[in-house]
Amino acid sequence: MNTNIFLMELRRHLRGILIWCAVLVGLNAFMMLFYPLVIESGVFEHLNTLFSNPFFKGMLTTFGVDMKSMTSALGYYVTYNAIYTMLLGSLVAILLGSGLLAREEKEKTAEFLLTKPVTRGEVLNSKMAALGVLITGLNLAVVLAGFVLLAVFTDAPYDVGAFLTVSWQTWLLMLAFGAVGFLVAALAKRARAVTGACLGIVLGFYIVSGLSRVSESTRAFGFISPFRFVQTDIIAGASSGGWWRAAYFIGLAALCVLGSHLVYRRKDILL
Amino acid sequence: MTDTAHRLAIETRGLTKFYKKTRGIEDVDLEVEPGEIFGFIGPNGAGKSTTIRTLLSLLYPTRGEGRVFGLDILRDSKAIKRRVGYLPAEVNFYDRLKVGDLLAYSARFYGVVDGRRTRELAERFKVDLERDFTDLSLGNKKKVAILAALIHSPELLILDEPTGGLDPLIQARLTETLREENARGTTIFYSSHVLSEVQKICGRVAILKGGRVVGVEEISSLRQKQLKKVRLSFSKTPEPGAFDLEGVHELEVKDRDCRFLFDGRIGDLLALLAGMPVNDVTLEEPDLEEVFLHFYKDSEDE
Repeated sequence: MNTNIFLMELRRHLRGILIWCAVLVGLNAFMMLFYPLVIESGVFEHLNTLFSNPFFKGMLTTFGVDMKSMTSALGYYVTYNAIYTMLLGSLVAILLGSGLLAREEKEKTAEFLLTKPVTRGEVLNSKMAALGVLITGLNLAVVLAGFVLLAVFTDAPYDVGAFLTVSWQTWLLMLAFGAVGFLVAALAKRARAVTGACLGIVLGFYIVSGLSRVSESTRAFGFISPFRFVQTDIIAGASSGGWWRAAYFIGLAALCVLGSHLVYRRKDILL
Repeated sequence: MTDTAHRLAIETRGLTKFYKKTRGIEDVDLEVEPGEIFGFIGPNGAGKSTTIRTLLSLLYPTRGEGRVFGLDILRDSKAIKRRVGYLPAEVNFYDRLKVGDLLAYSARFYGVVDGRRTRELAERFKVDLERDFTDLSLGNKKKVAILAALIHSPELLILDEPTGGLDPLIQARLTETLREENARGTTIFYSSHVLSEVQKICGRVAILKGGRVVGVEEISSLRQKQLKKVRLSFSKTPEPGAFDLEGVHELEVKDRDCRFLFDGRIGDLLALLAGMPVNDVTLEEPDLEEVFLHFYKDSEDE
């Protein structure tokens, strides 16, 4: 790890992450604004009949929406959080991870950085550390804002433990996607295709995870997607399987980190 | 490969790099003595940058080996880079950073935190440390890269086309700075496709063509066989055999115009021309391609 690189990456990407903090918190706040209105109008009761139709129910399930849990403040928050924070956050993480590496090649700054007295491993570690700090900061901001939003928009008590469970799983999910981003960038022969590949990976997994929830027969299939490992049905029951979920995310991240190291160490930097 | 008593600044043995099937360099053998200014010339695409990038482990050699100050280019790359300053042919730095911040970032890698040398060099090369790097012109970007390469007073400077984009004044300042650095013991590896530029500053020169080193020459001996391109225009068609002079090569006569390469004594040529009805004469330095074709015809016939 090289502190010089680490600090420079923090500095260069701080602004982007701050903007994303604002976007995610803003989206969550925007949705929470409607919560009192939605409850008051009893719109969920009306919709319930409509959404008992299997087609619409399937569609909602794809996006992780469960009508029953939507009526509680936490359920409502977590549902939207799953769409905004999880999906957008994962995109931010994978693009940041891949960009930290691939942009050096695309913008040809790798020739500057890699002729400095640092090993390729140190370059990777410093950039990964920067990603860890930035993504953790982003999550902290969103979670803290979540606490505030829940306090502002509901008087009813909610399950803080459940909220924290969703939060740490989302955090680990993003870190894992960040690591995937590094691996994609390390594997890419030419840096230009990296962004597209990363978008495809996240969106693809998101859709697979959503579709798999539709029916019982496809449930197991969903676990090829990291998104499926975040427990979003937390309101319906107690949180379960915390350890193996954590182990999965950490394991996935560790594999990608290891893979990136192996590939990047001997990679030809073509400019 | 090297005995400890005599460590070469750069030494390669059979250094080869293929990009999949495409040849980058093949069996490059180099020996650069510590303290010398070593030229590395060849036409575009000869493999100059590939050699340099392999030495700096941006590229992984297909086979062969290389050492810098006796250190292996693969295993000891970090230790090598601590002692090397590199000026790339094409300069790219991070966006949205001030020149001063970029240079400080670069210097910190070598543990240089004192900004005095940066300011000295900035003064000398007229670099504005407060400007945003992205806004600089090509030549000014190059100047920033020169500073970045010099800031930590490296023992070996590797320069890839260092004068590209620089105005003549700054070029001269660079040459002067390189001489000073060299006088302090810095070894300089100077890659260029401009022969005259290399001739000005280098002691020895390796000539690269088609990915292979086709010759290593002392500049002084290259000077002796200095080649001139001569173009003449006469008021009437010259007689056949009029240029029967030692050192005339590849003579072409077309009506009243004629051209040839000349590596004989200039005095003899002038004496010959004095007695001829010459309308116009151009004496110029041939481009590198012509020099290679002339001197290294044999090595090409493989």
